[in-house]
Amino acid sequence: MIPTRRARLAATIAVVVLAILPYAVAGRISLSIFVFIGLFSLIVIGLSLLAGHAGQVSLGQAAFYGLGAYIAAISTLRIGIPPWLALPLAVSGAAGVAYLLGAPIFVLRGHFLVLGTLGLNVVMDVLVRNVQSLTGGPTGLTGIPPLSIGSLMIAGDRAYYYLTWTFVFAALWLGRNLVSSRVGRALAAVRSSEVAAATVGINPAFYKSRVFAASAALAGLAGALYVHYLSFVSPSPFAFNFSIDLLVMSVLGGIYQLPGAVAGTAILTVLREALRTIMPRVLGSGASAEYEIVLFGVLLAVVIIFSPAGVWPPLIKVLRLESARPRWAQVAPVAGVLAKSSSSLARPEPTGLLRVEGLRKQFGGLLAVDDLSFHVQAGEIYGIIGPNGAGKTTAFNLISGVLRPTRGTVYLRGRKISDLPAYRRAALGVGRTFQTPNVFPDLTVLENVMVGLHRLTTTSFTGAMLGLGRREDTQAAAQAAGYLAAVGLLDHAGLPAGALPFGGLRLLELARALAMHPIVLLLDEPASGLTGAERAELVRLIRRIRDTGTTVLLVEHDVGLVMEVADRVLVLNYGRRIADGTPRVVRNDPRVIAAYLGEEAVS
Amino acid sequence: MNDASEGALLHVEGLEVAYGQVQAVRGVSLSVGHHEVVAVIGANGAGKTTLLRALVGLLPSRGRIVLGGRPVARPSPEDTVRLGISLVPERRQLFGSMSVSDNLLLGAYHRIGQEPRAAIDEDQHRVLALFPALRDRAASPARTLSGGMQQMVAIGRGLMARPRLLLLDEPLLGLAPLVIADMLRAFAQIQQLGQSILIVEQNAKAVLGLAARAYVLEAGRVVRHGRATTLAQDPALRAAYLGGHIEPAS
Amino acid sequence: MTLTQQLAQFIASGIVNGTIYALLGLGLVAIHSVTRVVNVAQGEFAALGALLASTLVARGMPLSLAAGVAVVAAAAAGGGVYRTGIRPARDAGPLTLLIITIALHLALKGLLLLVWGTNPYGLRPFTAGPPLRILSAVVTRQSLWVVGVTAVALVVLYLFFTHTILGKSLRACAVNPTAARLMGIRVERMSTLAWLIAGALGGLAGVLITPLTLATYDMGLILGLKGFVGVVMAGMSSYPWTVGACILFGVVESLGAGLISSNYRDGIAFGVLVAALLWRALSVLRGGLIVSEETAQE
Repeated sequence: MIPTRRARLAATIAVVVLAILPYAVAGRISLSIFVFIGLFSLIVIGLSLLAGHAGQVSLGQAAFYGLGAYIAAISTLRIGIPPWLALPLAVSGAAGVAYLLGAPIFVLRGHFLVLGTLGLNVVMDVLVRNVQSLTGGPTGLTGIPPLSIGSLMIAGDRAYYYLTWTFVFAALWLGRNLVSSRVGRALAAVRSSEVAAATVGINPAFYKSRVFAASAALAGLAGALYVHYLSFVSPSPFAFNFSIDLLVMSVLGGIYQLPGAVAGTAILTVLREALRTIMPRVLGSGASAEYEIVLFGVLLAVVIIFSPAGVWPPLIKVLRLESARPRWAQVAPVAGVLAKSSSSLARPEPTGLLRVEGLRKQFGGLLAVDDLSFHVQAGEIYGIIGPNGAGKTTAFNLISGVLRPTRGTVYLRGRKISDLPAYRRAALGVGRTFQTPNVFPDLTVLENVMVGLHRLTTTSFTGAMLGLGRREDTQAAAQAAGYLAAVGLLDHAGLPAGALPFGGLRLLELARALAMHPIVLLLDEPASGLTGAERAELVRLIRRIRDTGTTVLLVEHDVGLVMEVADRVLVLNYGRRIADGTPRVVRNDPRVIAAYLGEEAVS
Repeated sequence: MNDASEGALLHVEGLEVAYGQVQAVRGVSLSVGHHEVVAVIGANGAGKTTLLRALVGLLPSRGRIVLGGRPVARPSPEDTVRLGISLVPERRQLFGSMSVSDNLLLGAYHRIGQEPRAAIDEDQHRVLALFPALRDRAASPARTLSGGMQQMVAIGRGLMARPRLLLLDEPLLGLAPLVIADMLRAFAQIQQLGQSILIVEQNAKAVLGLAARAYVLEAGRVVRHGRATTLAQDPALRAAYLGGHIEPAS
Repeated sequence: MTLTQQLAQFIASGIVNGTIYALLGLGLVAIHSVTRVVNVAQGEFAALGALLASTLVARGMPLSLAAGVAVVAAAAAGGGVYRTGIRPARDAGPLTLLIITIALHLALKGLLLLVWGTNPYGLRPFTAGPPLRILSAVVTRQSLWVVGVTAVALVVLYLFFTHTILGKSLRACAVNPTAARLMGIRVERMSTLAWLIAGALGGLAGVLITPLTLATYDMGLILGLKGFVGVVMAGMSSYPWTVGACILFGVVESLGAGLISSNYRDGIAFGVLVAALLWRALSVLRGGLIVSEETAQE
């Protein structure tokens, strides 16, 4: 979304207020609480990026905060590294540990990062308390030098206030760049469907582990700033409880918008502080801490129950800061994206472009695909028909890598692909659509197709954070618009993909798959749910796709459509091939009539 | 058809169901009378399953719904079964880790405490008599059964509720031809006991022989309805077995 | 003491701790399988049971009655937490529900602090007498009570789930809530029941462990976390595997603490957990990663 003028104004006001704040509150409130809000904001921005955009939850962010703090403290105190050098060391140390933990764990799906980070946090805490020679144990380390650059010493509340908030705004800027980039779109894709993301060539674990490392880097930075600010470090601020606090701040603010992280942090920190000072005055000095916790818990529960998306979205609505205009609203489409290309047709493969040998898939006791072999020539339209449960979709899942075969091999251009993960097969040119359209509903129609261009664009994770991919994005948007024009969806480019009618979802999925420049395109029941007119258009489109040099495999219930467009047809029943050949041959095959078409069909 | 609403077990008028902005069922009207077997046929994605899910309240819908002779403003699955209408859902939806007999017992959940246990046990025997193949597997976890036997459990579980109307959603999906034949025989037996059935199927050929009346659904609309024997002779419909398209009758 | 004796001793105390984790873990499974909530406040049910039983016994109530009251109170807390905190937000995402249980954890912990303060409370062992020797380990009588009562609780739970219509419908809700609704089972009530059971199991754990460790208002979180570790190791849904994983976790923790240093107790336990996770991930990687099966099946 493009920020409105109001939003820019609001951001400017926020910056100005923060800039003059130290002078405004001078002598009345200690600045330190604002320094801490800044430090915690840094961590929470990372956590929101992780939870809201990579869809992963960490219960150990305090460990990275502590890791940064202790790396900075130990390297300056014990090793004598200058503080300006200790800072990047702390950041990369935290990021490195996160990457080493995350990269393998993201291979497992589910609640495993929660567990891994929780474990890390407890281990960290125990080590810091017990390896006394290095960390000073429970009492910690004192006398950590402040940051300095040459002779310029950064010391005192005001200096750290400005430094920390500069980093906060830098983090917001980097985060915003990332979210609105090629990488951000890939993350949105992974979040809504890992399967669909993998089939356009995105490796989910790759991006998740990088976001996790980035979030740890921010926590490490906050930790290093913390020790140089206070010149003191002890284990207690980095315990598991604080990880929970951080997660609460993140959800309270709203995990999908990064400024929400700052809001959530500020609200929680101020609330805690306020309860701590107000409660004793209201209730007498005795019972302060007790009431604070109860009230805090109840308030938190009430806020989350009434605003599950956090405080930021309603805030934006009240202040009317949100723009209704999506990015890339007006893009000139690249013409002729479906023009004839000779690349795929140029090399005829003697054994077929796609070859399936002895493929078998067993689900428990059910044999879904049983010893299936066939080959498809370059430039063919190859239809697969058969009754429900015949194994057609399973065969597609085995070819595209969504499922692993029990036995058997798939070759693409003579190369064995059946042991590759789905995203690698997509990169090699296997594109597909799904029986139930699997688009990314959080992205616009145009952005969905831009995700299809993922493998053909190159902006790296770091490049995306620095905002370096804008030019490529503009080109990708024009390219994507070209594909939308080809399927007739260009008028809906700015719509959220989830708002398309059923037929539109099918066409969008098709445009997304085409954007990958697939060598082979697997279409899983593309006609089902389409109206008569849409179906006729689909037939034309399938032929056009073949004419661009893409080989098409077509699973369809609509036998009429298959007979109309396919060059050859494979008939499956109970996971086995019962016939294949040209439509005419198949239609008259007695086994096909008996098992599938039925007597009346041909009479 | 309008008179049918009086004594109908199920009567629907102008039913609309939308997922977000996708309109899956558009103004469908249908009814099922006592002791009647009615079929709804149509291609994948035509809205058949959505229709059934809306009828029992698994999906929100607009329109007039009369269940068991009583207009229901907002159907809920928990109450629908108590009104004597039992849905056997698509893809069976068994309690996979539980035994066949536990699945059947849970089918009678709303009768437990209302009726003597002996009546429920007796019904379980009836179900096993209807599907003798299940007898030896009564103690096995449902998910270890073959697809056909799982479908038998699902139907048996639906019957255990002692419904006046049984809704079957794609009961022949993915079954072997021989099993389909068995299943059709079982349906005929259930029908002979006076049980009303609304059966939703892609396999039109199989169910048109069973049903007295049928509705043809396409893109969320009823495009044809009438006597099953008449529809079976309809050339447009015959083309549709193989995926052809029917223009709505004017 | 010989090394064998030491090992036996560590294993014995590990089993006792693991049993307590298992009671909390079983509650977490009951809640998660029916309502898909990961309950951070699970340990508070144990703290409530422990503190309440201690106070009631100190005021002269017979132990068995006090224990019963404490378990019922913890069960009521479970049901109450569900009705007030979780049900109003049941359509929210898992992360939001997780945060709500964190909030409930804080609120409950605060309430316990209000009522009981920061002092630890004790409870006398269920039966007096010197420790017993089992093989080469010395085991307190209370430890036997922990294991024995838990074993009885497990049998009762097993019979409930396999031999009563209520238990079966609870399982049905966990396996397939949609189908359960079609049978007329009110999933809402079953959810409350799951939370009641979780509360009762938590309360029972608290009552059992207090004679061994004392009870404080903040004892819950770490107990709940260790139960959670067992639950995740067992795959989030299996009752028997959860018991096994929790006991294994208790034994590993106890061995580590005993053989290395008790200061490292939690560090070793959770370190083993991280190592196990990494090992599992690497073995999946070696096998060649393909998108998981359950999402891909038609």
